[in-house]
Amino acid sequence: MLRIAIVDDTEADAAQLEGLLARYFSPASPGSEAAACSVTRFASGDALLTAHAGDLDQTFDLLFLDIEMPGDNGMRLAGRIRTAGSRVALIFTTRVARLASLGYDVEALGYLLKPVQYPQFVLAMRRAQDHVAAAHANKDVRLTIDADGQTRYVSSCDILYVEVNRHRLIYHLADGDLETWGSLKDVSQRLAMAPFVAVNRYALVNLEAVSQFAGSTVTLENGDELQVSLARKTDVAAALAEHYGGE
Amino acid sequence: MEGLLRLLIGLGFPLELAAATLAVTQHASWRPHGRVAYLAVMAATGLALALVILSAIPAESLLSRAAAATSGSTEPEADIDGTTLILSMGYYGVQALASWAALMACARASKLEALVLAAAGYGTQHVASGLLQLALLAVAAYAGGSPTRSQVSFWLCYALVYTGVYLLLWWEVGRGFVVDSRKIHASMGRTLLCASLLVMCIALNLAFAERMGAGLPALACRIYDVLCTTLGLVLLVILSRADQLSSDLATAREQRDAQARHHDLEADGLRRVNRIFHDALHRQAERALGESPATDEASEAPLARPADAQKLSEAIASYDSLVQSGDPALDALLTDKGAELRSKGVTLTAMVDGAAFRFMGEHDARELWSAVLDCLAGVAATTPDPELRTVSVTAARHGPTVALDGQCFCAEDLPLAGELPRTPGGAGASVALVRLVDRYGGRLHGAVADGVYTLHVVLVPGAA
Repeated sequence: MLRIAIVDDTEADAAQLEGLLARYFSPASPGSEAAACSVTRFASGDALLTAHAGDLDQTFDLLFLDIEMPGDNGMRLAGRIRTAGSRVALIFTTRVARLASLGYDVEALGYLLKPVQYPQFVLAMRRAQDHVAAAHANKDVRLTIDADGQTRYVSSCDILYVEVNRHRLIYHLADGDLETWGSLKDVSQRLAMAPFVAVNRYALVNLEAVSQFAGSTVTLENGDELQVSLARKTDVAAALAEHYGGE
Repeated sequence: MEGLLRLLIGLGFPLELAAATLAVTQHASWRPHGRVAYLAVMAATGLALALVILSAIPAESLLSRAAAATSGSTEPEADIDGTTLILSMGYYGVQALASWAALMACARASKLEALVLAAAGYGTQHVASGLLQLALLAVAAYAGGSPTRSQVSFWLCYALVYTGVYLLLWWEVGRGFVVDSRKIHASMGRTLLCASLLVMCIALNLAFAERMGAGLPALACRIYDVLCTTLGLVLLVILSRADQLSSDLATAREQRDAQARHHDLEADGLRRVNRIFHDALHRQAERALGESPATDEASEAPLARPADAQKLSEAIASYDSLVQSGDPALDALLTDKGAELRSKGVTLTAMVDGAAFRFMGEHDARELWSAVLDCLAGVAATTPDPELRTVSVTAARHGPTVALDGQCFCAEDLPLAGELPRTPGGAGASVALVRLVDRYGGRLHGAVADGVYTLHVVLVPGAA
């Protein structure tokens, strides 16, 4: 079930979009499942954020945002959504492509020119479904870490990288470090299902946390830099391409 | 008799030099009747020199080639004075300079290209001359005396050696020798050094060989001279020749530059069209919609119906602002490609972060986008329903990678070569895509599902 919100101040446009969704998810459409979506309509961005400011990711998988709306236009609304930390999939609708073509700034999946044509709509929906499927793919691994006399349960998503120094394992998390004893090989096996890659003999990096890869250095979200060994450089590049390339 | 000999010497050497030069310059860009003009210039120079320089020294004293031509002797004078040496060198030097200048005038060659060709021609003639000396020495050793010009054996040797050497050099060098102007200008120092060394080698060896007199030392010296000259000639050719690869690269480079210029012109044209017509068409559309009063200029124009005007207004709005990627060069390319696809009935929707592709350089970014759009347009054209001919692309940074996603409808039986489509004319785009992904690091993935072809290109700038 794909949970969709349409934010558009024009009733006719919102209704047209809803009609296209109904057609797309009708049993006759190839690649669709019957009644596989729920649609909620909002007349403005404020209405959306007032109702679901804190639980946007939990409530919706995909938002169609009209660009030309009174008050916060679609682009500003998308900026507010991203600033709030939501990763929900966004598709803009607009009469003027120029206004939406900067949508990459807010990581939008694309835009649709009004009046929306069904073929373009289908392509956008395919992309959205792929994106949502990838986002829902459970790549999270729960680790049990005994550190400082306490046992902590850590999600692999929260780990930036793991490094080892003479059997002393250091888990670098967004909110601090955890130290324990063990081998990097064991950790690597436990994180096999999560997107981690060894950048050298002493460090295992979460690909999601890599913000830059240049020369022989990876830079992580928190600004830490790790050296990539010459032997691992190709593997690291391949892992990044694999992770971000999708299927 | 003395005058006739001068004439013979005056014409003999320059014609040999001209023939050698023509043998190695088959692919030079000769002007119309350039070869004839070149021969005429060389002959005229030879005659003039015969009158001026050769009048200052006895004909039989002229070094090597002239001496052999005059007497057929293989044993030149051992007691050559300084003046004769300098004048002889001047004689050959002026001939070489005349050849250089004539090549610049008769062929469309730059100074450096003409220098290379003149040096190659001179080297060829010198090798032939040296081998003739050796052949005459061999005949002398076998027959017990040097053949003279009055003997058939001399002319037989002459004809065999010169014809053989010229034909061999034409076969090995001349018929495929194209001077790569970019290459020689890029390594101008090395080219000049090589040409100078060749000339110096010829001059010094000649002077040295003449002073060696006859016998074994002279023979060794001649062999050494021929080998040095041949080596210099080979080096010069290797250094300056346009091989197949560099020729292809040069062609590709020129094609790419032409494409870049084309895109710039297209972008200029689009901007101009927009600037001139956009406001007028919008006014027309607004008038039809009743949003704007008629102006004097437009009052005589027929009004469109509101529905048509709405369509017109929307078409204009989407046309003049198809892409804003943040990179003017990419905007121009995508707008141009969008217009090209539209003319083929394919609609393009693009949301592209142009700044993400700056790591590639403008040329490669153009090539990548051209390849992606050509590839997708080729796929879109396979769908039988014209309504479905639409291409959608997005590109943005994702973490340390740059991801480009393209989608379009396709025929149900779209043939694939690996993960890339096999469409008419799409092979070049596929090769370019694979090459660029290989160069910059990343991966390429394409697949067909439910009548939609999806292309993912992920580049990892840090891996390049």
